[in-house]
Amino acid sequence: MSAPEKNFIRALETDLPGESRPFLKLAEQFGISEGELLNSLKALIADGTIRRYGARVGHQRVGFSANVMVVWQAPSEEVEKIGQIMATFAAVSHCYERPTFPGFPYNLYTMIHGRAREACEAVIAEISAATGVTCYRALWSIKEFKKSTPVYSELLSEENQNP
Amino acid sequence: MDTIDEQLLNLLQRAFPITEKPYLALGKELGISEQEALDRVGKLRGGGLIRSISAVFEPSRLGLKSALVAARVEPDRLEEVAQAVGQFAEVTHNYGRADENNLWFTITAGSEERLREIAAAVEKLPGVKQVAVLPTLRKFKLQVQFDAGAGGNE
Repeated sequence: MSAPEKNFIRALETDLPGESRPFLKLAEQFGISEGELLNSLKALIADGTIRRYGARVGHQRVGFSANVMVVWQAPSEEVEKIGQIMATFAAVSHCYERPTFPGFPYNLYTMIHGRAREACEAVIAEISAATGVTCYRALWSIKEFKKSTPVYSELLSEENQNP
Repeated sequence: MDTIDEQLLNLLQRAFPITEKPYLALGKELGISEQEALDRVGKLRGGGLIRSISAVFEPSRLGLKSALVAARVEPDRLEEVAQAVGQFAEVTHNYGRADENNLWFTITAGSEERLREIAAAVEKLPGVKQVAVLPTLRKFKLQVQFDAGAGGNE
């Protein structure tokens, strides 16, 4: 990845200033023009490099205080179908297939959010009923040791290429 | 937080205007002035509801490698292992969970080698019994915006 490309990434990862022309301010800070910054932002959204542009919210403070990672043992030939069903639940923010490992036969991972633990438990029961997956484990978080907004521009090595 | 704040919060997450004067555009959408939109966003930030306004990148599109890691740690060493894990800049989320696999964290690294190197370093920490690196095989959903005014289950 070239230095100018990294500069754009760094600029777009920077918190937008709270003023009338915030992109102008940001562009000046990184030595680029407002038009270049807006165009590159639009292009990166269009090609999927940026998933979305906007506010990152503190979930705990919006009322979604409970969350749980639930892992499911889905028959391998049904993972696609079951994953799609799980994804339709609004309380599910993440739904991924991951490898199993010794002692842990679960292949579908969901993050479930609710206003209280009981709400999460109700969603888990609904998902189990909707998918027929009865072998699952709810892993409640007992302590948040770290939650940071990743700064990807800091992690990019010189050899990184867009795939 | 009134209904305009709720609508504003939803727009800020889902449809931030990519334009020279985004707060003017937001104000028009909500029937308020540019200045009021700016003031309201300032208050939402001050109250901690908005952590930042920025781009959410897809790390794989930047050539970065990510994985969730499950670690089985002796319970009386969980705290010190978690602290050591958190020292890596590549570790963005790190949770203690009620399970024999009691430490779960995400690594996003500049290369597959670096990712494996971090996982191997964690495996060598005293008290760590097992480490499983779990990359995403298929992604069915990633949706981390929340409706400010709606319930969590619908």
